[in-house]
Amino acid sequence: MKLFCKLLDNAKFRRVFFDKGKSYTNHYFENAISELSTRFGKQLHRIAYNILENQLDAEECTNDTYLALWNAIPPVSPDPLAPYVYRTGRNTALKRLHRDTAKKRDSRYDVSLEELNGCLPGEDVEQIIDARELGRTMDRFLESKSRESRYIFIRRYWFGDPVGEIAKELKMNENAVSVRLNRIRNSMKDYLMKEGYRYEA
Amino acid sequence: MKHEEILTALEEISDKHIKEAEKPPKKRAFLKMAVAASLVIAIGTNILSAPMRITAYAVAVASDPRIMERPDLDDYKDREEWNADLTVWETERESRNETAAQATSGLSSFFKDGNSQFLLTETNENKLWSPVNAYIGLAMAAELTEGETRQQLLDLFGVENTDALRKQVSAVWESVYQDNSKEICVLANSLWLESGLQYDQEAMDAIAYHYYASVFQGDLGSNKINKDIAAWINNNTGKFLKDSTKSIELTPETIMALYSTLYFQAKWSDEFSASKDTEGMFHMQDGVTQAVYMNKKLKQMNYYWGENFSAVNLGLKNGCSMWFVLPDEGMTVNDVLNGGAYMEMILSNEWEDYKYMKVNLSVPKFDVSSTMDLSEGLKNMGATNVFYENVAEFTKLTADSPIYLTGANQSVRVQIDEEGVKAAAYIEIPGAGSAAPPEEVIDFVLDRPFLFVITNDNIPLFAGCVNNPKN
Repeated sequence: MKLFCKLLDNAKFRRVFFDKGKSYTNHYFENAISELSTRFGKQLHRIAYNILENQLDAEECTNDTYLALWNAIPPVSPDPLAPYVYRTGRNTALKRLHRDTAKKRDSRYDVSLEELNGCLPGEDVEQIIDARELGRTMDRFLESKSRESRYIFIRRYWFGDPVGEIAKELKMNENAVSVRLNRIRNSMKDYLMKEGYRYEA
Repeated sequence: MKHEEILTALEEISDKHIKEAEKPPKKRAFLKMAVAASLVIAIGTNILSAPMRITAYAVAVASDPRIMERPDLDDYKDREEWNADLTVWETERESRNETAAQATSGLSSFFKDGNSQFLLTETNENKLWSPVNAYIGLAMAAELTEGETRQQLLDLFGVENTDALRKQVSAVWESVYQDNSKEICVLANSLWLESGLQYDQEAMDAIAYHYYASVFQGDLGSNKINKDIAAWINNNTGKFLKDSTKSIELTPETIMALYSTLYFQAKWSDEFSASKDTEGMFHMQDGVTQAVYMNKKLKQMNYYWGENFSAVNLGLKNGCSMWFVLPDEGMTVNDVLNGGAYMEMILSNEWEDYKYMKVNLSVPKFDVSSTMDLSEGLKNMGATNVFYENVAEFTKLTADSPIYLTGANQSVRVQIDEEGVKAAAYIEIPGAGSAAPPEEVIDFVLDRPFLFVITNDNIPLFAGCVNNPKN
């Protein structure tokens, strides 16, 4: 509980979440949702919409995320909190997307994944890729890039933001962001090759 | 890859990067890295000049790095202007990397022959040298010579003339050099002249510009200058060589001393966990000793092999890497060095004998150092004149007296642990095969003498033969 006090720096949030064990009432639940919504609602909705491409679905998904967080915290005490909230939101949206087979293909999010796939190594009989290991290597690569490059990469491929949205946030034009993304992907491919991943000639 | 797998990979993006992406950036971060080594060259004469009590002063000051700093968005009001400068910066960096790659191809035989000359040993002694450190120091010596003396050094580095040498040194220096608050790979050079020595100012300015060297003049051999030099080396090597610099004592006959430093410190891309360390025996050429091994189980990596050896390559966060080359059972480090194929594996990108597989890796922690005179080896490699009295032509330095190199001592120290590598080198030239791995999982245990090479792209920064991890 103390940890969350520090993490959130928000007494109200702390009270509504951590007192729930003592007094699990509708009042507390509503307060919790309200706090979550104020703090993370916009980003969670954006993640859900990026993946599901439907306002109604995105709203439902965001509400599901609040519930999932309510159920998980505590006993889970994530530090820092924000990434945990976004991961939960993203996983909730992805589950929903996979459940709905009609939306499984060619969604906007799939397009961004396919874009990323272009710079990732392929699997064959001689190369079995451990996706988690690959992810950690990608994370190390990102560590070596500028903050702006990381922002562009993570917003595009982790949050699933459209290029136009990223450009707007950075006050750049769309083409400049696309060029930057292309450079980052090429640079990541070089990095992965250096790390021992092989690509088809 | 399947989308599910990509999503799994993306799950590994760290919390801090996700949190950071909540808001658009205002500041950019830099890479992490640091490197260190030191090279010292001193030139002596058979003519004793009366020492003059002159405090060392700067004859010429090392040029600032001619490496364009990455444009920082925060310094710009107009994003388009920043974009334009960024493009210039990227073009300049690409061109530098290309020049460095060409330079390396000319230097590959120097690096390879050097390893064979300097790392061979029949004892439990550790042998280490810094190829790039020796190269830069000797290149400065070449700049100060003329005639056949210079030609031999140019041949050693695979260049035709001093113009080409200057370009080569600048390219290597600039491609290795990094210095910002988080990562440092610092090369520094200095030239110390005996007080009263008549020097050619133009040559000194050229040294300062092309070799990034500072030139000082003072009473060489005096306690004050000895301390000045030690302080200069310590300053440029993060005091990592302070045990070696304590003994710096130029003789009064020395009329010039040349020091070049390179300091290296980097973290493993994938650190070892101290909780997995084990103790075990290390089988030296003669006898055994206890060592602490850092371990990784079932680590997926490229496993390389060649005639008489196998090897792995561990990445460092600064983009450099460290190769570990282990002779096959029954073979020795000397067999591998004499074979030479391992350097081809390290310096070329076309080595075909490797496999991406699971490796159980055990690397002994070590903190090893060595000091050796490179002059005999350099003579064997063809640079003879520079070491002989009345033959060496240091006429670009001074017409004062016949001078020559009386030695080329290099001190190197390399330390590795769970977090990463730290290394420094210091040179002083005082004047006066296997089959493909059959298993899917292989044990790579460095429990007998082995070779290592730390490289920045294809430039070997440090190379060594560890015969005893306890030094």
